[in-house]
Amino acid sequence: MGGGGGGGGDGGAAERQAQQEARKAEARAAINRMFGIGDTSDAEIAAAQSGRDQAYDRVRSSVLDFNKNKLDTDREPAARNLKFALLRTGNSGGGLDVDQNNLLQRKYDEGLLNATNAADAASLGARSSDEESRLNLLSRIDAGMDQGSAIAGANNQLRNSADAAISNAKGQSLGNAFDNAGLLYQTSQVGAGNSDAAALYNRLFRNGGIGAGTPISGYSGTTVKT
Amino acid sequence: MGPELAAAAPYISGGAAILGTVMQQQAMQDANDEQQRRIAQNQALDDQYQAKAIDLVNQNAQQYKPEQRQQAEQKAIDTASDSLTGELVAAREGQPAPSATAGKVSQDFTDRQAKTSASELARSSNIANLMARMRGPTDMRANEAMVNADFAGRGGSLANDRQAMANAGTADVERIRPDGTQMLIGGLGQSLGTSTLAGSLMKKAKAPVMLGNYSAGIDQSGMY
Repeated sequence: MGGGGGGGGDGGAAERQAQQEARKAEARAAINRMFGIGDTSDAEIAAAQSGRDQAYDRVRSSVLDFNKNKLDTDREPAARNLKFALLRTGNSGGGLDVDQNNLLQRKYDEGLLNATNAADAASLGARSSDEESRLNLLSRIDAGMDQGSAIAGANNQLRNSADAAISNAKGQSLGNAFDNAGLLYQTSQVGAGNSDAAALYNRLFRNGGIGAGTPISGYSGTTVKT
Repeated sequence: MGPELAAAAPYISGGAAILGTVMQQQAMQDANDEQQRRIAQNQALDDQYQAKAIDLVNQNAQQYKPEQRQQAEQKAIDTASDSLTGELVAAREGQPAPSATAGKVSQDFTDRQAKTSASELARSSNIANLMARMRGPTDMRANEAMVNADFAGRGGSLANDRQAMANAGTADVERIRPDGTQMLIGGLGQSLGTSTLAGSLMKKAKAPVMLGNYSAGIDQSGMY
């Protein structure tokens, strides 16, 4: 007797689910295309990837320019003060001039390296943020979000993440690279400040003041300005 | 009804009842077979998902191969070094020559300044390379983290699909029932056969010949 097969189990649920999975796969592919993930021989994917790379370069250059501009601005008074200090002390054009300008350059280089590190970190942060957004959108598709909403979300995320990375990096601008550099004008300023402090101390506590006694001379150690 | 047909009726009825039972059994057996077939099909699909998940993890693990990781780290160091030293060199190129800002100075001064500037650039480049060596491993791990997150996302989607398909497959298996028509016909045949057989037996039970035959076997002598 030939079997007629069971009834009811026509595979309808599995078939519908397979169709749904296909739609989800399509939506995931659309999100990935938008982020430039996938086969780069596809012109759309290559263009999206190139666009993303440009956006990260823009983040890097924006942060670098911002910090470099501050570095250059800080350098101007430092260089000017150094020049006058060299002239005042009769060291302009001498060995100390070379050493001091070399020190200024060293501090500038250190500031520039810090600025470059910050710029690279901001660029990496923007890329990482985009990846997080992409994965978040993909997980939303898994949870049932439709393709249109996911793509709209992706557009917003891509637009915002680069700006957020720049804004965040600018909020963490670097300090003055020439503070505590030990440049000639700074050591003379520190010396002058210490002399003033010693004079004040002597006036208040030694020379007829509360703790009158042997006056102390100006401190001539290696204290640096903070 | 002819006597032959009447005599055969119990057999026909019994046959119908048996046929009905067999039809119902067959329908249930077919449903059971179909369930087993679908369960096996679901298991095969689940195995495919499992294989894909394993493949995904293996792909992800490739980046941790020592030689590949070493290359990735070196690449991250080189990238960081290029970035840092590139900015140093670019900044120097944008600056005026030391002699241009110094005014009227001796040749010794100019020579010393140029020499010091060159050695300072070398020193700064050296620091940049050291920074790159410090940064490279961290940058590489940041890149790895993004790759890992991507694989984790793909694995999550795969697990999600796998679970959804397993649920749908289970629902399909649970919906499998014995064939309704076959069960109905079988049931009718069984009922009809049983009732007809019962009727035939009842008729036979009421026939005098049977009673006569029955009583004929009893010794009635001396009963009264």
